[in-house]
Amino acid sequence: MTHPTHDFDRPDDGAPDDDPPDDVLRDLIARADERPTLRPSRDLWPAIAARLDAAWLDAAPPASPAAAEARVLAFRPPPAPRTTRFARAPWLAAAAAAVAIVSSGATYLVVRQPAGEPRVVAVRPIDAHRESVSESSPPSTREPIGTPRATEPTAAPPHTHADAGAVARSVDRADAQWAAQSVDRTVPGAVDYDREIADLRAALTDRRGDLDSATVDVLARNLRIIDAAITASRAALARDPHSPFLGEQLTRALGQKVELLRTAAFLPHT
Amino acid sequence: MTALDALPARTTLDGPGDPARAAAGDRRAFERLYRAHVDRVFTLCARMTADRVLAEELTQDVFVRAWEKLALFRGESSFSTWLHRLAVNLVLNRREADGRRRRHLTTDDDGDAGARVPARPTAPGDRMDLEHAIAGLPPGARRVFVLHDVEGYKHEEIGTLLGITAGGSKAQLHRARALLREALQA
Repeated sequence: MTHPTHDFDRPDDGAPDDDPPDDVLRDLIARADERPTLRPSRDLWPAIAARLDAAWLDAAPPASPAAAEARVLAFRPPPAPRTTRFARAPWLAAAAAAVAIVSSGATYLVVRQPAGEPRVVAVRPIDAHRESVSESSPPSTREPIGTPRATEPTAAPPHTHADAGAVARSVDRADAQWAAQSVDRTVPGAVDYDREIADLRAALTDRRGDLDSATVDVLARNLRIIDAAITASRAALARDPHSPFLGEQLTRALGQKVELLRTAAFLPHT
Repeated sequence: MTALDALPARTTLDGPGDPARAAAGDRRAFERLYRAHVDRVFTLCARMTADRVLAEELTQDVFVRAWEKLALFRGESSFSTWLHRLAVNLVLNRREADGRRRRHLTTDDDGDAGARVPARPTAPGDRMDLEHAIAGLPPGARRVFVLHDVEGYKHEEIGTLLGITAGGSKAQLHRARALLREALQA
């Protein structure tokens, strides 16, 4: 019998590698190298799938349209909960309402703001995607267009930069809305979803302030993800309008948004 | 190219395009990859850790990490090889983390206390006997044996993975083989 060496970190002593396994060990190794002989005690896929879904929902907003598109392609709704108390918890439903209120209400409030009150609405987006995905980016990511630069003329132009920016942004939004409507017209059911989303947003706007901020934060994240998915789907469909897969993705994302908003709209007050 | 890359491709149940489809976000393709590879990944984890419960946890971790990293898979090696490398790294990282937690209590290879492979509990030739013998090896020797003799890693690679010298890896392998011979002859 060979006695084992215990000088494990001894420099290459030449023995082990020059000591190929004997027949018994060779057979042992061959058997170990065959198809696996061990199996998990249960199917691990449900747990893995749940973790993948959780990771997707927790992910930060995509950094680029390409990333957003990749994410929407990756998106599959999580399986319907069977026994999760979390999903039935009233606070979660309340959060859905809060999210919808925050998201839709922000636009509403901006639009309804008194004309005389000073506000900066003209911004120069660092990139188009950031502009489209988030309305609440930190100030460092945006630059007031009205800020003079060394190379810009100091004389007051007939229209201020802020005015020009606001007009440009308004035009961009109109273009984006028109493009979204155009894309949605190519996808069966998408227009109906758009209409329902608009109705639910209006209903939720009237309910703003009913919910607490913690639950708002939870579902605001989900709404942002869904919105990013919708944006990415529309962008992909604009390039490939006849793709049934992309159409299905857009429909699925719109459906999720409707579900979220609907849940929020019919929640009791918190 | 490593020794593992040179290993013959094993029969799998996944389609040839499934890695690419999964990398593009196709969850069903990824589930097919899971079905095709889960036993081998679990076997690797179980052999490396000698702990079935921990191996199931690690197997889940491997596939979650694989999903996250699939975009980095370029197809230069087989998916099986890539997944195995991921699994080995995860198992070793877990070992490091666990080792840091309990370093004050014991050492990884605590002398000869664990260096005796249990005698065969079942008839010779029983496949589970092999797993029992591998599981009975001391942790360091077991890892080197699995990586070198089963997974096909070279001593230099094992040394890098485990933070030991290539000579140390050879010595561990020598020790593992000797202990396995001893167990098989018992």
